This record gives sequence, structure tokens and C-alpha cells, in this order.
Amino acid sequence: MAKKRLLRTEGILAMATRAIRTIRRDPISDLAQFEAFACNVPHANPPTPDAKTPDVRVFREFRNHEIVTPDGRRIPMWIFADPQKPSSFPSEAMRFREGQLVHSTASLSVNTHTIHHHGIEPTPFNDGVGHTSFEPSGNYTYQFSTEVDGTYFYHCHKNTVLHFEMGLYGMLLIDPPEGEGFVRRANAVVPYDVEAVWAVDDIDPLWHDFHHDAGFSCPNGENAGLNDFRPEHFLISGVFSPDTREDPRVTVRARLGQTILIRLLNAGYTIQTTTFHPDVTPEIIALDGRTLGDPRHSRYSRPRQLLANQGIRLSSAQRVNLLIRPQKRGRFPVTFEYRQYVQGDLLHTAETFIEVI
Amino acid sequence: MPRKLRKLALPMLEPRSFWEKSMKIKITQNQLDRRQFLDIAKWGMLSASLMALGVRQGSAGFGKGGGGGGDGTPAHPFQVTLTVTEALVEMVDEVPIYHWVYELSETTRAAGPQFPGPVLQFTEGNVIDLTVHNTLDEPHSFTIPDVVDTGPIAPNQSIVVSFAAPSAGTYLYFDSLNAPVNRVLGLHGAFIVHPRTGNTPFSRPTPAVLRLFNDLGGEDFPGDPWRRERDLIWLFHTIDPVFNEIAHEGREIDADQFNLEFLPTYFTINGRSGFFSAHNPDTAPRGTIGQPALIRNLNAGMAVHSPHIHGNHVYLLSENGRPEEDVNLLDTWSLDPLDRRDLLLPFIIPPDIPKTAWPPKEERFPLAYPMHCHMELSQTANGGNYPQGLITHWEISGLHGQEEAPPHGRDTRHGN
Ligand SMILES: [Cu+2]
Ligand SMILES: [Cu+2]
Ligand SMILES: [Cu+2]
Repeated sequence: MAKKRLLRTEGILAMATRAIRTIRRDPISDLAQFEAFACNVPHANPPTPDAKTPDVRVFREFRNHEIVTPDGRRIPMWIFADPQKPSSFPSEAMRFREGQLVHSTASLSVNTHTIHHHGIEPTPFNDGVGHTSFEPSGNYTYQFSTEVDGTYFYHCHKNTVLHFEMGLYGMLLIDPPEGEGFVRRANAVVPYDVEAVWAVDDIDPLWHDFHHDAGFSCPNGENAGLNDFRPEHFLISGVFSPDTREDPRVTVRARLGQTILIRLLNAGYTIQTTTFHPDVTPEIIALDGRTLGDPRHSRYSRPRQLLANQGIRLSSAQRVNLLIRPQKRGRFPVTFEYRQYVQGDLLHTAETFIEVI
Repeated sequence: MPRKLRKLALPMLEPRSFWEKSMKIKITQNQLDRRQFLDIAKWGMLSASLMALGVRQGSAGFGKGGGGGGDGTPAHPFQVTLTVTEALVEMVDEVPIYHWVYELSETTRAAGPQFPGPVLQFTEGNVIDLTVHNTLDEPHSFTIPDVVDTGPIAPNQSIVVSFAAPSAGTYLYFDSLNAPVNRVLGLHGAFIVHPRTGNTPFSRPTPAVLRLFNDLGGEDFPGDPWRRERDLIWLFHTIDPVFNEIAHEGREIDADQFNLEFLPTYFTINGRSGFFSAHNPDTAPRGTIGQPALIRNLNAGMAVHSPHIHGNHVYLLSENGRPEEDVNLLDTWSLDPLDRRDLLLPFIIPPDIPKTAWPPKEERFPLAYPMHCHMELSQTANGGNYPQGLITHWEISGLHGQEEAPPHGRDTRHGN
């Protein structure tokens, strides 16, 4: 410590001759606006603006939940649940058909949360972002239409760094007008036989004991270490690795001649690379809920066949739709590498299998 | 037991005003639970091997009389003078963090240190005579990979390099010495090159890029074509104050240790974070429906980012200077350290607003949406304070024709 002080004194003396200039932060032009951005986001449960009669309604409520690791550790989770259904992690998926007007109602009895339907592009009131609208504390109905089929997800957008990690997310799938079993490929709608949804996630159990406002802005803005994420558990669609090798929620089983659709999401805070055995090399047909080559919005792109052993690298929230048409029978591994987002350290490799019979 | 949190090194100045009163930021002792700092000898042995003041040519097709194009570029080389200096940069919580920065010297006066460095913009083929002064105590450089490299400039020395602006696109200039340390401590900025002709931002657009730009303003994108004055820059950066403090103390930073132990603690976009980047007109895109904007993404920091935009998907136009063969439409894209990616925010009607609810009556313009990094750790400042990190807003101010498209500026933060 004494040595440290000495160094600092030297620094001050050096500075005295050099006069270090300061680049100031901007002033807070409007304190109310500043507080509404972070610590005092308005809480409200307004009626949905410009509300229309919906084609489909979906309900989600906040629940506490718990998952158990393969070695018996209990991890507290927060989830959005369908009030009619038991709790699950990831949160219960939403599934719609293209061209529907949706009312998605959040019931938030415990603190405030929001639902952001990620990739869906509605008005700000229906976008679930507190600092561009409000945070509901009771019931709010989000209104949007399902204009473009594809793979989306939904999650809480309050103190997202923590709430997303806690499990407040689920898939949101939009089928083409033909319905489930069909997917858009370029300018056509094609059938598939087997569907797999892989939400690839990582869990730092330390974070799961935090208060829901941990590290939140004013009044104290304490250092909660929310920039320091050290995952210890690695999951696919709620299944812990290495159970991913056997659990039918992750493994894929298809007959030779069938077409497999895989919907892949990075639902974590690691950089993830998914690599398929060469005999099940997929074709990328959509990214982020936009079909490659779809003449409506994406005629500047095309579906792309991956090369053998070419990995698919996704950062948080990216989605990809993959089509596989296996040419032979066998049990083919798929690996998922999880890497730290600064140092790039390989933290874990999970595995599952595509079995072609 | 929670793991010990690493606290910031005590900065030279205390946080001021609003945050001091209401945020109660606790900056305690230099508690480095995860790290063991090597005892590094003070810098002093490098100088012998340094280049003396000299003139070098850039590697990109330097030729006499470059410029003089039909767009009014002068036949004379452009004279640019940058000074490598130091500054305290206030973070979003007003904690001042020591940085090394570039300062642009104008003809009459110095512009003040900037963080990030000044945006340098040229037209393809322009010849630039760049003078770089190093006023600091260790060697520094100015580098644009594959374009120009001053090599090490010794303390209190200057180097002049001449080079030609390469093909149109987005480049990052930075100090490449002791990589990545000098770059990440603040010595970086955007270098933009415009094409001589054409209706795209590229010298040689791919067919897909060309088709998209030809379509802007047409049937599928009613409104305006691309307009250069609406271009924006999003320069992403990460700061670990522990290392800035070592530099402040005049100690050398070991690059291996830096790589190994860097813990991003502040996250900036164009030098600002959170509320301040969300409300900065040079960072936050604004326009009516049908006023597309080109956004140049650069990553000068240490983390892989995953920028995500609400309200509109964006077209990814180019990756590290190379226009894309396939232009993908994304709501989330990756940005590795040193990556540059140009994208087009189309400013279309947010597609999932029900047709029967457009234009909104009960909800009012402007419609505001966030763009933020989805590696959500980046939404923090000093371990909390969500969302005072890597975020901005964008706004749809109305229907097309309701308002002139505002030009977006290219400001960075100036100190004085
Ligand atoms: Cu929440
Ligand atoms: Cu999201
Ligand atoms: Cu978001």
C-alpha cells in the first residue's frame, strides 16, 4: 500500500507539469428523463393503445421456479408460465401462424417485469422496453401481428442482464399460413417431418441468488458484479449437459428420407458454435426470423448449404433455421462449444445426437 | 458465499454532483480478487530501438497528384495532424478514467482530446499527409491495417506519412503497439472513405448490395434513396479501469496479462453510454418512415458484441470492408474486436404493427426503439446500473414527407 501511494504521488507530480485535460460526460439535461431511463422507469398498466380484436390470445404469468442440476444442486429460476400449465424452463413457448393479430397478456404479480417479443416489431408500447415505454406491475396486453413467419423468442426486458439469465425467456415460433409442419425456404413453403428447437444457454448459479433489482440504477447503483459472468452449467432447451446426449427434448430421431428442421437460438451470454457431423450437414434457410431469399423482404440473400464440419457461430439472441435431409442411417453427433465473450476461453462442449433410422 | 467483487482502482478524482449525491457509488480500495498484477518495471528500455523522426510512405498506392477528382477534391494532399496525448474521460457515472487519446490539430488551434479519436473522412484516392506527434512517455503509432502504419513514434517525436485513401468503406485506425493495450486505452477512431461515384457507400458494390440500394425509394421501400448525410457511426468499446490506472501511474502494461485479465467494466458507443448515447443526436438515428440510414459499426474493444435492434431488422451490407455477396436481414449481428460492419436501417413501418392500427392514433410519434448489445453484461456500468451501457435509441419521427431528414453528425467527445 505504501508503495502504491508513492507511485500515485509520482503520478500527481508528473501531472502537475502536464495538466491532464478532462473529457466531461454530458450534463443531465432533464433529470426526470434521466431517471425514467433507468432507476425510475414509470410503472403502469395502461389499456393497449389502438387495440383491435385479436385472432389469438396468449397469457403469461410470472412464477418462481427451480431446476436441479445433474449433481443435485437446486437453482432458483424465474419464468413466464402459461396460467393453465405447469412451470417449465425455458418458459412455455408461444406458437402462432403468419398473419394473426396477437394479444399477449403479461400478469406480473411479483415486482415489475416486461415481455419483449424479440424480433417482433410492434409499436413501443407493445415492445416491452421500460425506458421507451413503461414497466407493467399488474396486467398489460401486448398487441402485435405475426407478419413474418420464423423463429423468434420472448423475454423480460427489465434489468435484462439478470432477468434473462434467470429464465424469463421462451421460444416464439411463427409458422407459415400452412401451419405447423411447414417452413418457408426461399420463395416456397416446404414440409418438414421432424422439428427440434435448441435454445442454448449457460448458467452462473451465483447470479440466481440476486435480488431482482440487483445492481439496478439509482438509488444506489451498487456494483453487483453483473459484468462478471462465470457460467458453471450448460444447457440446451433446459436440459443440462451431459444429459443433452440422451434427453429426447434435445436429441433428434428421424427416418431416412425425412426432412429435419432445427431452430437454434443463443439464449446465453457465451459465444456458441454448433457443429454437425458431416453426414447431417445442414442448410441455413433463415436468420433472425427472416427466410433467406424470401422475395417479400430478403431477395438480396439466398439459402446457404454449410460445408462439412463448418460450425455455426452465434452470439446472444441470434437465431438460425436449419434444414437437414440425411442421406444415410446412423447416430450423428452435434457439438455445442460455449466460449467466454472476451477471452474466448472454451468453457464447455455439450453434445447431442441426430439419429437416422 | 458470493464471490468477492473486484472493485475499481481509486481514480484521481471523485465522482461529482448528481451521481455523488444520489448514486452513492462506492469506490473502495484496489481490491483485485481475481488478478495478480505482475510487478512491471517502469517503461524505459524501448527507446533505443525506436524510429527517429522520419517520413514513410503508406502502403496504399501513394501517387503524386492524387485527388483532383470531379467531386471537388483538391489535387493537393490533405494535411492532417494528430497528437497522441492523455485525458481523463468521465464515464456514465462521472468517474474519470485516465485514457490515451488522439487529438486533432486544426490549423489555428488544437481541437481538444477526443474519445474516441476524431472521425477522419476522405474520398477514395485522396492523398493524405498525416503528421502524428507523440507527447506521451512511451512509443505510440497510428495504424490502419493494410493501408498505413507509422510504426513506433518515440516520445516527443513526430512522424509524417503519406498515403492514399483506399477503396470506400469503414476502417478503424488505432495504435497497434503493445497490442491490444494501446488501442484499448483509447487510441482509436473511425476512418471513413467515400466512393467517387455511385449510389452506394462502396467502390465496388456486389450485385446484391447494388440491387438493394437501387430499390431504396422504390415500390418496396417508399420514400427516399440512401443519402450520405444520414450516415452514422456506432463505435463500440470496452473499458477496464484497472489497466487505465496502471497507465496513469506510468507503469508499463503487459499485453499478455491484459488479454488474460481484462474485465469489461464500462461499455461505450461513440464514447458514451446508456442515457447519454441514447439521447445523442450523432449516435441515435432519427427520421421518418422511408428515410434509410447507413450505420457503420466498429469494435475497438475487447469483447464480442451482439448488437440487437428493435423496431426494424437491418440489412448487413459489408463485413470488414468487403461488401456482402448475400445481404442478410437481421435483428442481431455479431461484432468481434476490430470488426467493422456496415448495415442499413431501412426505416420501414415496423412490420408487426397491425395494418389496422397504422398509423397509431393513441400512441404518438416519435416511436422510439432501443439498439443494444444482447451480451447483456454490456448493459451495465461498474457492475450494475442497467441499462447505462452499450445502448442507443432510434426514433421514427413520423410518416414520410412530414419532416426533413435530419443530417446525422459525426461528433465525438472533446475535452478541454
Ligand atoms: Cu423481469
Ligand atoms: Cu432480446
Ligand atoms: Cu432489447
